Amino acid sequence: MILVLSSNVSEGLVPAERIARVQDADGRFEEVSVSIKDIKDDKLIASEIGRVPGKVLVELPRESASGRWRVWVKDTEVAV
Amino acid sequence: MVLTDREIQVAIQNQQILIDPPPSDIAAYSSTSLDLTLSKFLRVWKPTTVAGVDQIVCPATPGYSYNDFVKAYAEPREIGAEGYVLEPKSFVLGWTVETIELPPTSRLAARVEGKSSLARLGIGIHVTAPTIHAGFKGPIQLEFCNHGLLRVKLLTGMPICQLIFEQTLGTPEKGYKGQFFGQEAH
Repeated sequence: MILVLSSNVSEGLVPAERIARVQDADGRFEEVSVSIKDIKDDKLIASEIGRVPGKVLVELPRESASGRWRVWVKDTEVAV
Repeated sequence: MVLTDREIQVAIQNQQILIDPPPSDIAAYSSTSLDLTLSKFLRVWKPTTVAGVDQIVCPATPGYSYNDFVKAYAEPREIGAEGYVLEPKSFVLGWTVETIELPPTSRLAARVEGKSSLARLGIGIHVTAPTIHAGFKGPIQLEFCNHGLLRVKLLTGMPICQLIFEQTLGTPEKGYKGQFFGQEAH
């Protein structure tokens, strides 16, 4: 599991959920509604799927508002 | 393969399935499913049809925020002791009381399905997205639609949906933290 440092977390629709916005490597934002258990230190916990130079492919805990599960983020924006 | 009631209970005991609060009654199980209950939280869509005004939502638009959309167009409601009446042709969001966690290494996924007792009245509890993926955590969001002709009352704590657990063939990539990235599956 890795922390997505670029994620911005806000209140969810119910107390057990939060909304996380993740900036991908191209600067676009993905919004995803997640469990409070998927948040640590106000950042999103995601799963690392793979790496290429400069980028990490992460799988979001749930499908994003635009329908994506996996996004490439800058490797400087994640922490183990 | 679909898990039976006995296998679901074993998986809960082994923490391959985490449910909070856990099923308090054996009656929550059927032979191949586990009932979940309705929480008090609802989001009720406001009427958005105005004569002469054409409103369209496009989730593929860059910057689209479902959260902002729901907060603008769906009122938060809490179901009181009197219940909530789902009107014919209405569409409302709800959540289960129980939070579910399926660790990706459990080799389990699930499907949330309706209950025939409600289906017979015209109540659907999801709209074509029943999969609870391996790794899921949280309460399950439900999409209620009353397809019937009758007003139907929903009460907090009522059995509202059922989970059917299925064994996955293998562990998903995320369960391996990327260590097999780029390798061909065999």
